[in-house]
Amino acid sequence: MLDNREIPTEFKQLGDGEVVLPDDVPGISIAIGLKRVSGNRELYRELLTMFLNTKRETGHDLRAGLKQADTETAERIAHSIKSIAAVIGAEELSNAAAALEKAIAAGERNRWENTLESFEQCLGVVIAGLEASLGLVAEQEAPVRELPINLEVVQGIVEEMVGLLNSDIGRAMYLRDELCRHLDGSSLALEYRRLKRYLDVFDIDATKESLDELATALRTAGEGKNG
Amino acid sequence: MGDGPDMQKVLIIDDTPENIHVLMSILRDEYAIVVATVGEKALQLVTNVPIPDIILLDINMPGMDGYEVCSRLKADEMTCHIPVIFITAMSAEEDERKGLELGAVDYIHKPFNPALVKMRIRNQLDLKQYRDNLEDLVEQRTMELTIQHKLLETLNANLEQRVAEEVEKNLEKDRFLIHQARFAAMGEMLNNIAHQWRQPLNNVGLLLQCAQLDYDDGRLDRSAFKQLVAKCMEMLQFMSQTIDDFQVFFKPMRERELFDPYSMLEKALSLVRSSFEKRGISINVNNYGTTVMLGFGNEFTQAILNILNNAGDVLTERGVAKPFIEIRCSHENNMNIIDIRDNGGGITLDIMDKIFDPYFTTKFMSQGTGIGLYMTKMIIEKNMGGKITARNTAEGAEFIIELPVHSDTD
Repeated sequence: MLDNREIPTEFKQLGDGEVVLPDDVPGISIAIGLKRVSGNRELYRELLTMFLNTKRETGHDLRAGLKQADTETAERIAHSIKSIAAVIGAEELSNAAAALEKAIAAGERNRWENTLESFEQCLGVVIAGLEASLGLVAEQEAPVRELPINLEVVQGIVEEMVGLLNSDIGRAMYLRDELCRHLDGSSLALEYRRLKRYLDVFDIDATKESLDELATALRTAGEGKNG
Repeated sequence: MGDGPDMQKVLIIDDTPENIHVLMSILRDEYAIVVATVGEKALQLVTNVPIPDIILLDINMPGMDGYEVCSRLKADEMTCHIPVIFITAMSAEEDERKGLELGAVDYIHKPFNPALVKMRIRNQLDLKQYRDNLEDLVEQRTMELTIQHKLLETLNANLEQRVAEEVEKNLEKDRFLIHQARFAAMGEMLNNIAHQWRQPLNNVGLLLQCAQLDYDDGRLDRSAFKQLVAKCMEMLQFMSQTIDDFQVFFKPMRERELFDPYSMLEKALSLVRSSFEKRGISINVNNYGTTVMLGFGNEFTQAILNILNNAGDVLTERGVAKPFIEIRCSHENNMNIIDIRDNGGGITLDIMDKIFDPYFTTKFMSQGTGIGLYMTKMIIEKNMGGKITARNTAEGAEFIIELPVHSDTD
C-alpha cells in the first residue's frame, strides 16, 4: 500500500498518439535509457513520469531514515535509486546512489553527509530536468465532464482485471489501458487514476481494493440509471 | 499479446516497480506474469496453481530478502524444481556465488540488456521443458512398468491356479493310466494264462476223448480209468497252480519281505515264457548267484515283466531273425545286478533319454500306455533304492538293474 502521506501533485503525460521524448534532459542520457528498455519509447516515458512522481522526495526520505538511525531503510532506498536511475539513463545519479549505499553499509556516518549532498544535487538536476524538458503538467483535479460510461463493458473489464491480478498481470495492464479509454473524462476518472497509481507500483492488494470500489461505483451508477 | 491458459507463467519478485515494468514490457506478450513486491507475498503467490514455470528474483528487498525467498522455495517440495534467476543491482562476485549456491540457475546484473534477459529466460524455460518432458516420460514409463508388473502378478496368480489345475489333471491322468496299465497287465496275464492252459486243456481233452474210445471198445477198465483220472487231476492241478501263481502276483504287497531276485525273475519268466516261445523268442538266463534281499518281490517281478514285454514287443514288431533275450543275474559289492539284453536293434538315440519318462510311448497306434518303463523305474529306484539304466549294445538294448542288498529304505 502507498503510505498515507499526502500524495504530491501528480504529473501526467500530455496527449496521446506518437510518444514524444525530449532531445536532451540534464542528468539523463536518453539514448542509454532507451537502450535499457529495448527502445520502448512509451515505457520509457512512463518510467520517467514515475520517477518524477515517486522519487522527488527521496533526499528527504533518506535524511529522515538516517536521522532515526534506520540505516537499513536508507540503504535500501539508495540501492533502489541506484537501480532505477541506471534504467532511465541517469548514470551520474546512479553512481551517487551507489556511493551513498556503500557509505551507509560501511556505517561511516561522517561520509554520509557528503555523499548525501552529492546525491541530492544529482537528484535535483534530474528532477528539474524532467520537469522542464518532458512537457509534463501538474495534474489538476479532473474536470468532470460526465462522459457517458458503457456500464456493462466496464463492469466486465473490472471483473476480468480482478481475476487477472494474481494470474496474468500483463493482461491486466492491457485491460487497464482499455479502462482508461472508457473512464478518462468520465465521472469515475478519479477512481480510475487511483487504480492506475496502485497498479503502476504493483500494489496488488490496493489495486484489488480499488477495483472493488470501482465495481461498487459502477453498480451504484447502474442502479441510479435504472431507477 | 499472448493468450490462453497454456502460456508459461513467470513470477517477478522485485520491490522496485520500475524494474518490474521493464521486465514486463519484454515478457508480457509471451508469458503470463505474476508480480510480488515483497518476499512474503511471493511465497503465498507461488503456490497458486498453475505454479510458475520460472521466477525472476531481486535480492535487496525490505523484510525477507531474495536469498531467503530462494532458500524457502528450494526447501519446499512443491516449488523446489522451479528455476530461479536472480536479477539484481548487487554486483559483488560473492553475491553472485551465494545466489548460485542457493540453487539459482542464473544471475543477471542490473541494469540489464532486455533482449539478453529475454533470451536467458527462454533458455531456462526450454531446459525446464526438456526436464519436465523427461520427468513425464519417466513417470509414464514407470506407470507402464507398474501396470505390467501388476499384470504379471495377476498372471502369476492365475498361473499358480492353472498349475494346480494342471497338476490335478495330471494326477487324474496318472490314475487313469495306472488303471489302464493294470488292465493291460491283466490282459497280458490272461493271455499268459491262456498259453499256460492251452497245453493241459488239450491234454485233458485228448485224455477224455481217448477214454471215450476205450470205453466204447470196452478197454477202459478200472485201472485205466484211475490212471486217466490221475492224469487229468495232474493237468487240472497244474492249471490251478497257474491261477494261484497269477493271484499271488496280483495281490498287492504292503509289507517288505525277503526275496531272491533270481527266483522272482524266474517267476516272471514262467508267466511269459510260453508266449515268448510261441513267438520264437528264446530266453537265456545265466545266474551267477544273487543274494536274498528285503523288498517288494511282486513289484520287482512286475518291473522285470515290463522290460521283458517291451523287449518281446520290439523283437516281434521289428521281425528280428533269431530273436533272443539274454539275462544275467549276479551279486557284486552288496548289489544284486540283473542285466537284460536283447538283439532287437536297440533304442533310437533321440528317445534314449525319454524312455523312463511317464507317458512316453513308441506304441502310439497300439496299446502302449507309456507308463511301463516309468513304473519300472519307480519300483526299482523309489521303492527299492536301486538304479536302472538303459544303453545300446552292438545288437540291441540293454537294461541294467542294480539293487542294494541293504537299501536305505530298509
